[in-house]
Amino acid sequence: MKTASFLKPQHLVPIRNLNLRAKLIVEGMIAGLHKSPFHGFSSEFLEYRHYLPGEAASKIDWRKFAKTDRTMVKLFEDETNLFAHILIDKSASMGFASENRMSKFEYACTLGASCAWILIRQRDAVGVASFDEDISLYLPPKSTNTQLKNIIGSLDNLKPAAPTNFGKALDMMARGVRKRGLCIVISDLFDDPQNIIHGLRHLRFKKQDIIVIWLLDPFEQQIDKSVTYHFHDLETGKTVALDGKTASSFYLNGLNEHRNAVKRACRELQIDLESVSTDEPFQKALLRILKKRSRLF
Amino acid sequence: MNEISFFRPEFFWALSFIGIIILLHFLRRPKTVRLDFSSLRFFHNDAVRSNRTRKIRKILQLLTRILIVALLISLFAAPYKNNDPSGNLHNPQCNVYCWVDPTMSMEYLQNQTSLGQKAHDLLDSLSRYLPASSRLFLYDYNDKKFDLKGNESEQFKGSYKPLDMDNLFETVLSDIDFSSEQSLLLLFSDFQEPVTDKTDSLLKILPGQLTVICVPLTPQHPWNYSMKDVILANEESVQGTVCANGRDLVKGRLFCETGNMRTETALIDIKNNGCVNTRLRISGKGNLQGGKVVLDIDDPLQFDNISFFAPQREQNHRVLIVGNRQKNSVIASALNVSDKRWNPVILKDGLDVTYTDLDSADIIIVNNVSGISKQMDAFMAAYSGKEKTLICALDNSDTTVQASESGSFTLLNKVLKDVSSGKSVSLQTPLTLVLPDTISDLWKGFPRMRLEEVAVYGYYDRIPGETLLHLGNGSGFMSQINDQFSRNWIILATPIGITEKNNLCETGFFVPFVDRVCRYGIAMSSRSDNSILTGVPYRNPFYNSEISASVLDSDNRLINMLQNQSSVIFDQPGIYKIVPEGKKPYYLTVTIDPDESMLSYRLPDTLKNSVNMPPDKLLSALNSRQSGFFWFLPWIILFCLIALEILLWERKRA
Repeated sequence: MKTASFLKPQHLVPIRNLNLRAKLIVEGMIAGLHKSPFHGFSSEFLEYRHYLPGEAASKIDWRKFAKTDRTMVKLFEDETNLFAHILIDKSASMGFASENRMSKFEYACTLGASCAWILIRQRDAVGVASFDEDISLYLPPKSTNTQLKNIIGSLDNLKPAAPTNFGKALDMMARGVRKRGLCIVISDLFDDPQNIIHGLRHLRFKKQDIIVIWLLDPFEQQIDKSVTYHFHDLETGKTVALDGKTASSFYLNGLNEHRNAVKRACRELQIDLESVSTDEPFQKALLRILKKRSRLF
Repeated sequence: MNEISFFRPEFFWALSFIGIIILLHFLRRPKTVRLDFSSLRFFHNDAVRSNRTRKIRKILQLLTRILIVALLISLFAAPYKNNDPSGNLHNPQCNVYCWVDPTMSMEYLQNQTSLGQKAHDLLDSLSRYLPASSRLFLYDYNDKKFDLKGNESEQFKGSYKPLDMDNLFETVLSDIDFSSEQSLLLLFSDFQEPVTDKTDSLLKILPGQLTVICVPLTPQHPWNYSMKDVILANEESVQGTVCANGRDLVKGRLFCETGNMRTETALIDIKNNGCVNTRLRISGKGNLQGGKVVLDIDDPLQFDNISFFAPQREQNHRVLIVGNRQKNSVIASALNVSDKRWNPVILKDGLDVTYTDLDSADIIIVNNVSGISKQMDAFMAAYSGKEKTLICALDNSDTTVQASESGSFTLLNKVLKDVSSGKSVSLQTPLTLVLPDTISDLWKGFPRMRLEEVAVYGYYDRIPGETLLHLGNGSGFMSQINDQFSRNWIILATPIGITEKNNLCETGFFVPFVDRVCRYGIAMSSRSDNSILTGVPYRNPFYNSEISASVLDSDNRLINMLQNQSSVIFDQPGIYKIVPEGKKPYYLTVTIDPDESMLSYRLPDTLKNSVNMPPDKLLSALNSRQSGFFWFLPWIILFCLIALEILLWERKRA
């Protein structure tokens, strides 16, 4: 795999067009691959047909040719049989961004759009839902190019607001899912761990293969100790004044406990949990996630 | 309450560092940022509590640092308790002035070491333990100044001279610059009562900047045997008094030496605190030039075990008659004819009297004075000796109003407050005189019939004091009184000599009267003819008489010539031969002040800037400069503060 320089999130900040962002990310990423990471992701053998002149010689099944002395081409079942949902957390906490970085929500939308792009390119059916306390947007999965435009257009219009109720939102989502498929949940998971686990368990019960992308701002992983903070909670509106050391100490302890609880639950539910920092290049994050997926399947 | 002062207060300039610490604390204080944060779910109440604790800890840390710096600075400034005069012993900027009592009582031997030597040993310790920058001065008795003490040890030798603390204090006041130097005066003495009395009075006049430490070297259980008051009882024997103080004297060996020949030896036993008069036989030859009686026994004070004696002699007394010379000439004549002992008799006008005249006279008669000189005025105001008798005759022509212009009244008004309460009385019918008794020393054997010739026409009523002679009407004619300086005054109610107020000088009463009054005056004075003390000026008996005399020691070596000098000082005890020109030689005994063998001690009163510190305390104060709770306390506090600082200090987590 080529480890060429990735597009860093901060370079994409000036690009307001989500479509363009997703395109840049996905194309840049695929250009560096020897083969598509999604090849075989959901495709199954269908039949042989005769080779037509003008087609690429690489498509000929040479093994068949050796056996039958006929130039045949292998055909696969269409990818539309994968139903993927991209669930993006749009609670107020996702609006947090430190030091002029991309906010978690923007990052989530970009990442979600990129995933949608990849999936639709593979002709999988992709749907999008955004949630806070409830499901506020839902686009059912489709594999058309129009769907991609709709997804990007819808995500463009979203703004982070309202408190999180992860469990309730995923509950509602799970109720609407009919077929087995893939769910990509992009969230900061700032909710009660039991609530989160409850929602994920419900989705898993609905035979959904789940990828949880836990988005965190770098500041949320390492609070600067040299500053005294007057914290204002974006969701509840509460304020608290703490010096950097106290804040860092208590926050990191709490976050670790939270992470451990979520990790433990994901392991039990066979959910793929991936932590992504908002300063991490998109391609790198995507590749990491997809490589892990390819190892799992 | 303890008041703390500092030897090096200039270090307090460093307190400005505290300002820097405070400034750094505030500069390093983290800036406050308002932050819209994703979630406060991890900041529960404990975080807020912890934050508050951390704030308090920061404030405590600041206070601790300030205290550490302040304490360090104050330690550098070298604190001491200013109500503890010994604190100055450790003051590196303090000069230490020492005085060792030079008197013979400091020869008292205790554990084979004299008190004076002990004082010098203490001085050696002092020079070792004093801070290097402190300078140690020792008073030099001969030069009357403070000399820088060297490292070499000195041997103490008692001085026969009398104690002269006035000079010491004058030197202290003149030599020490109190405005620019910190100084400490150490007085090493056994503090016999006379020394203590003097010290008490002189300490009060010293400036407050001078700290005085009195180091009493008083013996623990003092005891002493002494031989004193030896006189020739007759041609064949001497008598004297042997005393035992503090211990019984058992088989004390007593012998007498005359002319390098030891005569009788006797053994004597005396109970504790008792005195025994004893008599020893001598050869006739010794009677001519005197000798000494020795108490041969070991005791702590040896100098008083020897007492000298010399043949008694008829001694002359100088009489100074102040006033109108013409009118007073009859008094001089009366004295000259009455007894040889009144020699010389000097007549001086009141305005011509000098210090030397006054100082050399044994009796001063003030009569018919129209005015007094400044010297006499000053002499009367300041002189406090008891050796002189002053006879003052009041002029009854003076009135109370006029008294201020009258010499005798002016003189008496200065010293006797109630002298002006009386009045002048003039009589048509004269009064005669009446003796109050015939058995007293004054009037015993006085010819009474001569009183009847006396006629007094005027007198001054109500003369103060105890009446010694009455007028016929019961008023006092002559009285005796002590003034505020304890001087003996004999006051007469009328002038004597040539006067219209009485006929005294024309009667047979006059000569014996004047002689008796002068004898009485001499008897009243505390001066004894034979009590010449070493170091005390001895009045030249031939002063102003144009007679010179040689002074020879016991080995007939010439040690001085008495010419026209008012006094002479004998430095050594012994027997001295005085050989006046054209006159018979006589002998003097010079002894050490017997008060030096008194075993009566008293510590000086402690004032604000003075303290009594026994030698052991002084040594422990010197040795244990770095001991005691007061010295340790700042270090303990500093240690605690540093420990607190370490506890409060937060390690940065990786």
